[in-house]
Amino acid sequence: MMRVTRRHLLKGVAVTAGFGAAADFPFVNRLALGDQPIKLGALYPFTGPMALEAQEMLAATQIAVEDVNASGGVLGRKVELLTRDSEFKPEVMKRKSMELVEVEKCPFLVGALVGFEGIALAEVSCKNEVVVGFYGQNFLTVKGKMCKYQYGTNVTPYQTAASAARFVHQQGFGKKWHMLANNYSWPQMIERALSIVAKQVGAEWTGVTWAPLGTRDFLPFLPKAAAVKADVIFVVTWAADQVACAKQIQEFGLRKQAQVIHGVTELTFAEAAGKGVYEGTYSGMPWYWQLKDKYPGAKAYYDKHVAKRKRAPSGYAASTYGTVRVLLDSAKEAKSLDTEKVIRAIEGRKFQYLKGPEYIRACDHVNIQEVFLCKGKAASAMKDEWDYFEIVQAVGGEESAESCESEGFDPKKRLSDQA
Amino acid sequence: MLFGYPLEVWTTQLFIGLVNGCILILVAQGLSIVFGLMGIINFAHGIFYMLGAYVGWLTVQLTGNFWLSLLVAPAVVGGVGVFVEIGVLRRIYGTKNANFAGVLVTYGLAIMIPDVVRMIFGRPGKPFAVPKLLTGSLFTLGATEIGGYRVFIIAITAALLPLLWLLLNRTNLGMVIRAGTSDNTMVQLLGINVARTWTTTYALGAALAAFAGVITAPLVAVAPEMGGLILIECFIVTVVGGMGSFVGPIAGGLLIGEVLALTGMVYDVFADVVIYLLMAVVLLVRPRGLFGQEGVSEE
Repeated sequence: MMRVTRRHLLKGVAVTAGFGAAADFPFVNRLALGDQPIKLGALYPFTGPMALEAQEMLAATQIAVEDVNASGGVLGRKVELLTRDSEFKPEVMKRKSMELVEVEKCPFLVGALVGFEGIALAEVSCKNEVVVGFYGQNFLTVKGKMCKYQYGTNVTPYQTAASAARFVHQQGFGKKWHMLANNYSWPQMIERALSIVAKQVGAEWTGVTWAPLGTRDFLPFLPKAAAVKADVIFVVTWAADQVACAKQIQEFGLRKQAQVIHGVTELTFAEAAGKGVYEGTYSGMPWYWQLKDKYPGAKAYYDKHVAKRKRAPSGYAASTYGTVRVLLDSAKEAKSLDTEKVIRAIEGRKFQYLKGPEYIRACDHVNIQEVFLCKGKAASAMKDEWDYFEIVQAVGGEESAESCESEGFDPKKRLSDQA
Repeated sequence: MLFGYPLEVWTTQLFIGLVNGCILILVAQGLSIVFGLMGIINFAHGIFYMLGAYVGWLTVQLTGNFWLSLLVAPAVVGGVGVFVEIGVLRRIYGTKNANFAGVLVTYGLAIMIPDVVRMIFGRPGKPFAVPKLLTGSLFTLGATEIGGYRVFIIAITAALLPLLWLLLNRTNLGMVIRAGTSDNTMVQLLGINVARTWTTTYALGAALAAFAGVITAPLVAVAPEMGGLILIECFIVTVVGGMGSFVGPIAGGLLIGEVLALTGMVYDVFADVVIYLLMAVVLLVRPRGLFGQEGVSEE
């Protein structure tokens, strides 16, 4: 058995201290890593029904990485983007994100567009202790527990619902509220939030008309929703379902019977539905390209995006840009690629990229941000091919976010100290 | 009042179910004819419906004429059907496990072609407006405005079905198709060019689906995945109505259309399972379907 002398002990302490110090000094990292780029893994569903949105997200990720590299990179190293097609399948998402972590040694991942992709990504994040920036709206838990290494910049279902509901209340559209929605977890979360806010503002909540996910014709469900004789109908659908629903609402004449509010929409959906289909309805949007006229950051991003994609950026693109920038700027600030240090730099981080001031709330990693209520334009009022909406009102982030206590978190603690 | 809803709301739902049933009938007829004659469970059928909508959209973009798209889309997609039958399906006829191979091949096409459409057309959806002549409401049913376009769908289906019946029952081609559905081997032994009949039948099925696709396009989201959504309902229609019969898809389409519409009103959360339950009940009670030919779908 080897005898441990005082000299051995001192050597050990010195080596450990040296490695520890090196991690905190970028120039030492640079020397050690030979100016190797930092790999950022991005996983989007380039195959499948959300392929266009995936391309928008890729463009946004590329622009964010280019912007960070142009300002000196992270820890003095360039950021290299590695992209993978998650194929809109959770098992593919899991396999490819594992490959990015284990083979490519990516310290960070961004991606996932919908809940089931996000859950797969969250599993990899938790298991491998890798920071993950997730696009989707849902809170993601792994085996019932929130993963402290993930964060998102998109609006949560509660924010989506509360911003629309508060807008309706302020505008005085009426006190009797109903909801028409696809029947799955995301609208169910919005239903909960809407019913809470209805109670808070003294509105009558009449419940939901549910349509199965993948409904191509909502007309069988519209008479039931209309029969409630509500003043306001919140429509919570997404992608092709929303396009079909918007067209059939117009055909059915529901807009004449109630004020229709799409909980959240996207420029791409309005394009697919056609000019004038959203006329007279209001929609929540976390970002809309007309913000370029208000914020210089949005204008700069808009110009780069149009140059790259030959089309106005979608909300997907804007949220993705924020997700990537938050991650890389936090690593810059932390002066480290260490997961714990980076996630702590993300917690409470204040930033302003493409709209007004935002921050990642420390207790739950939710992005506190303003949501824009936009009114659909008539076809004759459109000034160009992307001019489907006008921004009517911005609802502040604090007004529309659910409290940490209500979500089951301690508001005084960081999520990384309690998850 | 019935189940808490006034009778006028029930009437509206029945009308909506009738319109949806008409679309299902057109798509399911093609599926049924192809299965009846060729024995192929055609998973590619939904893509013809989707391609019909896209070809219709393209025709409207190029010519501005919706009515022309009603002719162009079935013709073009029927041509695609010819290509698929000759270029792909013909290679598996007579091979070991041909039926299983047919399922795999058509399923492969159903995955591949929507991605090709995405590559060509890019966006997830294409705007397709109701033709100006049929915009606006025609009459009011209860509290619901019934658009002229929905009435047009019923009228065109009602006009097309007798023509299809005449084709299948009063022409030589129809006779061969019906004979082949009953006993394919005997038809071949009689010296009839079955290969050509199969190609024609497959193209006819594709054209019917494309026609349904183009007339549905103004009402729904024109997107690459639209074929997959309707295919499931049409499989149920053909199973419930009965494979290989003319009346089967009509009965099945109307039944499924009405069941979907009425369930959507009475008990909405049940809407996505009720048609599967209905199919299960029909299969238990009458495995060949309501109007299916004996032996066609019971094997």
